[in-house]
Amino acid sequence: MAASDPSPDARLLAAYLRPERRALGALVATLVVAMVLPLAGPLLIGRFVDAALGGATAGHLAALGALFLAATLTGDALQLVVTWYSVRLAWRVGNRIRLDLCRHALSLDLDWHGDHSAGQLIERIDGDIDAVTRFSSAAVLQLAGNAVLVVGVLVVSAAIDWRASLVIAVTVAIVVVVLVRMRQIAVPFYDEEREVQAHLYGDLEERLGGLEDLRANGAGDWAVHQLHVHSAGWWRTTRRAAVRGDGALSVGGGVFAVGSIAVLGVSAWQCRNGALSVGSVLVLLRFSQMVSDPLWRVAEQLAEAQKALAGARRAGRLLAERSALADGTTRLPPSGPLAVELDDVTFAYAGSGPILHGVCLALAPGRRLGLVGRTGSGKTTIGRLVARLWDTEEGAVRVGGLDVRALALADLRQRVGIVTQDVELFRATVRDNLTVFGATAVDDGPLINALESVGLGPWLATLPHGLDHRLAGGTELSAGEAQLLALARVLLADPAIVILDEASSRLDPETEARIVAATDRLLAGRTAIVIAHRLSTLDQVDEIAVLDHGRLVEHGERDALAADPSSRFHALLVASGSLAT
Amino acid sequence: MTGPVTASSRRFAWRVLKADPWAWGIALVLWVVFFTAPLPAGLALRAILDQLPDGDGAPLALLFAVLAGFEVGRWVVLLPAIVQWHGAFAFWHTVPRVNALRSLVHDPGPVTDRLPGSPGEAVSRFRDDARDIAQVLDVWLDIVAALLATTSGIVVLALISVPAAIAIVAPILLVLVIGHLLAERLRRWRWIEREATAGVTGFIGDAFGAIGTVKVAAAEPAVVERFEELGQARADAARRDQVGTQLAQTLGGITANAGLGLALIAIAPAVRRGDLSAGDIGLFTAYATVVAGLPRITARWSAWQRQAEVSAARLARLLPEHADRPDVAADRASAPVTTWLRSGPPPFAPRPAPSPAERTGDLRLERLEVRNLHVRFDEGRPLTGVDLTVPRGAFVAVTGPVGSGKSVLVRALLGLVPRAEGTIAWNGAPIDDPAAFLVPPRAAYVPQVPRLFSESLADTVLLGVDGAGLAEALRRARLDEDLADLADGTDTRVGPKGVRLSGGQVQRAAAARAFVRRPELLVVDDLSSALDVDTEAELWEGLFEVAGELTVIAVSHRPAVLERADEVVELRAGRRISRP
Repeated sequence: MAASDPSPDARLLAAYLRPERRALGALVATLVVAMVLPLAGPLLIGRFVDAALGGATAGHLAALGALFLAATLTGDALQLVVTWYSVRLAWRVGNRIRLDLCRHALSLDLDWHGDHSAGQLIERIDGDIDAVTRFSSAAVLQLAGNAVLVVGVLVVSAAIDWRASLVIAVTVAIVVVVLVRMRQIAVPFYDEEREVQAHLYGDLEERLGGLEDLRANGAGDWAVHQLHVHSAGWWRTTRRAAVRGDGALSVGGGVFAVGSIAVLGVSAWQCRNGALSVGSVLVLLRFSQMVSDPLWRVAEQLAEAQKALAGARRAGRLLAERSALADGTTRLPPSGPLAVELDDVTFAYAGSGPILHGVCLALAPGRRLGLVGRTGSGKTTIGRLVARLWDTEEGAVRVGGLDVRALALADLRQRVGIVTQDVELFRATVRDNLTVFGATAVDDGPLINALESVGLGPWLATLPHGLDHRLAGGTELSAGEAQLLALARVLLADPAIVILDEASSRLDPETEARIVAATDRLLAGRTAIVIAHRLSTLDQVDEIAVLDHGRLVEHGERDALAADPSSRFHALLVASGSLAT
Repeated sequence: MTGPVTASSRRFAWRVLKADPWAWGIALVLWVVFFTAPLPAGLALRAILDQLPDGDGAPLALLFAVLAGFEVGRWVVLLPAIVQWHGAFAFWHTVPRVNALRSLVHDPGPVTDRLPGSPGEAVSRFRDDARDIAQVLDVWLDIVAALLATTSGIVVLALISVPAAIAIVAPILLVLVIGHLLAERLRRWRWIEREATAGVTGFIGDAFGAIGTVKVAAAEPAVVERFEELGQARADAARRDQVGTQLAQTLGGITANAGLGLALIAIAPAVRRGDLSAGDIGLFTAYATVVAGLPRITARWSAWQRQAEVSAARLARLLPEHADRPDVAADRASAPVTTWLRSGPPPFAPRPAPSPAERTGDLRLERLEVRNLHVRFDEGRPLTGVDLTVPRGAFVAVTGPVGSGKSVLVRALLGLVPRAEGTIAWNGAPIDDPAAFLVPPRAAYVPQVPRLFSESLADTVLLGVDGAGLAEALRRARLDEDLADLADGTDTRVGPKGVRLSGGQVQRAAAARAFVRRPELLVVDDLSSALDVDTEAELWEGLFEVAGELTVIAVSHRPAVLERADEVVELRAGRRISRP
C-alpha cells in the first residue's frame, strides 16, 4: 500500500515536519486525551437508558446526565487547545517551505524564468503551500486523533460484544481501503486542476500587467476570450477531480451507513436473545456512528491532503530544478578594475539559433569598450555572459583572468554592474529600488548623492516622504527617469566592471548631456562595456568593437577606427551624420 | 488605518446566483435531501429501539429497510450533489471575473486608478475575492438546508418532549449570540490577514517579475530576507484569523454535546415516570447532532458573508463607477454573463480591418485636433494647455527633455491617463472618451515600454486579429529577418513579457502589433530607443512607405526624424514651446 512506499512528496513534507517532532509529540498527546474523552459519552447514555429501564431515581439519572456533560465538554475544550498549537505549527512549517522555494526559485537561471511567469511563481511559492499549510495544521492531527478514536471504539465495543466490534472493524477497514484507493486515483486529477488554475492566474496576471497595450490596440475581446477558455478548462477539470476525490466521501459514507445498520442489527438480535441490554444496543450504535462522524473531517482533510500532496509534489519538483549555472567558489581580488576576456565564445539561447560565433575579445582592466552592431547582433548577450546570466557553450568568458564558471556567482555579480534599456522598478520605496531591497548596504547620504548626481535631485525634493516614498507603478516615472534611477543604482553598487546596455537610450540628448558627469564618474577607474545605437554616446570610450550577426568583425582603438575611412565604424559614423564625409 | 471598504456582499452574491439560478437550485435540492434524511432515519431508529428487548408491533425487517434506505440513500445523493456543486462553484468565480476583465479592457476612461499596484495583487482580486463571493453562495446552500433540517428536527423533538427540545435548543441560541459578538473582531482580523497576504503575493510578483534586475544586483539574499519579514507578518495575522474562525466553528460543535447533556438532565423526571421510552432517548441522541449543525453553519455564514463585503468592494473597485457610485460598480461586477463553461467559448472570430473603401465617416481620419489639453500632476507629469492639429497623412514628432511630458501627451491623447481639461476632436467632432474611440481601426499605439504576452510571436502580435496581414506587418516592422534566427519562426513562444526576444525585437514586435491593425492614426512613443541606427532608419522607411495614408504622431529625439516631420511639437515642463 501507499504507506509502505512513501512517495517523494510525502518525504518532502516529512523532512519539513521533522524539526517539529517535539511540538508534534505534545500536540498528539493532548489530542489523544481529547479524543478518548468522548468515548465516555455513549457509555453514559447507555447507562442512562439501562438505569431508566431498571427504575433508577430521577436524581441518579440527572447525575449521569451531568457526568455526560462534563466529559464531553472537557474533550471539546482540549480540541480548541490543539487547534491553537497546530495552527502555529502549520505557519512555521509553511513559511519555512515558502522561504526555501523562494530562495531556490531565485537561484534558477533565466532560461527557467523565461518559462515561468511571476504569476505562476505566486501559485508555486504561495498558493500550493497554502494547501500544504492547511494540511499540516489540521489533517495530520485529525488523522492521528481519529486513529486513536477508532482504536478506542474497537477496544471498548469488543468488551461489550465482539461481533459488533468486528463489524465496526470490517467497516473501518473497507472505508480506509476505499479512501486510499480513491486518493491514488484522484491525485493526477487534482494535479491537472491546479495546473489549469496556475495557467488561468498566470495568464490573468500578464493581461492585467499589459492592460494599456491591450486596450490601445483593441485586443480586449481577445483577452476576455482567453479567460473564457481557461475558465471552461477549470470547470471541466474541477468536476472531473471532484468525482474522484470527493466521490470517496460518498462511497465511504455509504459503507459506514451500511456498517452501522449492521451493528444495530447484530446487537438488536443479541438483545432479543437476552445477551445485551437495550442501553448496550444504543452504545454500540453510537460507537459505530462515532467512527463515521469523524469521516467527514478526515475525508475533508484527505481532500486537503490530496491538494497538499499535489502542492508538495510541485514544490519538490521546483526544489529539484537545478540552475544551469553551477556556482563556483573562487573569489575575485577585492578591489580595483578587472580585465574582461571572451575566448572563442559561441553561444545560443535555448530554442533559438546561435547568437555569437567564436567571438574573441579582450579588454584590459580600466579600459572602456564601445560595442556597436545591428539589433540582434549579440551585443546584449555579451554583457549577459560577462555577468554570467547565461553560460557560454563553447569557449570561455574570463573576468580578472578567471573563468566566470569558477567564480562565486554572488561575488562576480557584485563586481559587475549593468544598466539596461528596460529598467525594472519594484513597487517599493525609492530606497528599496536603489538598494534592491538592501542588497547594497548604504546610508541615506550616499543614496541622496547618487540621485542628485544623475539629476534626480529635483524629483526627490517633490516626494513628500523622500526616500521612503513608495513607487506605485510604471506610470510614476517616465522611462527616461527610470533609466536615471538605474544609473544611480549602479553608482551605489560601486562595481569593478560596468556594462551600459543602451543605458541612455530613453534620454533625450539634453538630459543625456546633463548626466555626462555622472556617467563619467561611473566609468572612472572601472572596466566598461558601453553598448549604444546612438554613436554620440560612445565619445568617451577607448576602443570600439563591431559585431555583425554574432561575429566580431572589427576591434580597435576608437580614434584610429574613426580616422580610418575603410573601417566599418567610420562608415557608421558617416551614416549617422556624426562625421562629415 | 481606516479599516476596510465594504459593499453589500448579500446583494452581490444574490446577483451572481441569479445569473444562473439552476446551478444553485439543483445543488440546493440535492443538499436539502442530504441534510434532512437523518430525520426520518431517526424516527425509524426510535421505532426499532422500542421493539427491544421483546417487542411485538411493527416487523423489525421493514423498519431496518426504511432506516437503511434513508441512511444509505443520502450518501448516494451526495455524489451528484458534489459534482453539481463544483461546477456551480466555478461558475460563481467566473461571473465577477468576466465582468471585471471586460470592463477593464472596454470601459471608458483610464484604468490606472482601478487596478491595485502590482499585477500580483490584481490577480488576488480575481482569485481570492472571487472565491469569497463563491463561498457566500456555498454557505447559503448549507444554511438553507440546515435551517430546514433544524426546524423540522425541533418540531419533532417538541412533539415528543418539550423539556428535551428546550434543553437542546438553548445552547444553540447561546452559541449564536456568542458568534454574533465575535463577528466584528473576526472580520477585522480577516481584513488584516488579507492585506498581509496581498503584500506577500505582490512581493513575489514584483521580485520575480524583475528577476533580471535581482540577479544582476546579486540581490537574492536581500529579496529572501524581505520575503521572510513579510511572511512573518502574514503568519502572525493569519494565525489569529484562523484560530478565531476555528473558535467560532468549534463553539457550534460543542452545542450538540451540551444540548444532549442538558436534555438528559431535563428528562430525568419524565423518564422516571415512564413517559419517555428507550426509543425516545435514542432519537434525542440522533437529533441532537442534526439540530446542532446549525450554529457551525451560521458561524461560517456570518463570517463569510462579512468577509465577502470586503471582497465585493474590492471587486467593485475594478469597475469605473467605483469612485462616485460604488453600488452601480458592484452591480456591474455581478451582472449576468454568458460564461461558456460547459462547452467552452465559440472560436474567436477576428474582425478583419476595414479596407480603405470601407473607411468612411468616423472610420476615416481627416483631421485630429487637440485644444488646451491639461493633465494633473497626480496622474504623472503635469501637462498645461497643449494645442495640436494633425491633418490626414501628417507626420508629427513630439520632442523635449526627460520628464517634459511627451509620453503623458500621447497617453492623454489616447485616454490612458485622464485629462483635467481640454478637447480632442476627430474630424471636427469632439471625442468624449478617447480610450474607447481611439482604438483600431482608428488608432493603434506602440508604447515606450511595450508589454508582450507569453504566447507565440504570431499570437502576441495578432492578439486576436486576422492573421492575413501578419507577414506584411512583420516585414514593415523589420522583424522578418529575425524570424530565421528564432527556433520556430512565428510560432516561437516569446516568454513572459517577451523575455526570449532582444530589446529591439520586443520593440519591433510591438510596432508589428500596431501595423497589423492597419490604423488610420499611429501613435508611437519612442519607438527607436532600443534600435540601432540602421534598423531604426529602415523602420521609419517602413512607416514613410505608407505616409500619406497613415497619420503618425511619434515621440522621438532623433534629428533625422525631426527633420522629416511635418510638424515638431517641442515640450518643456509640460508646456508646448514650439508654435503650432
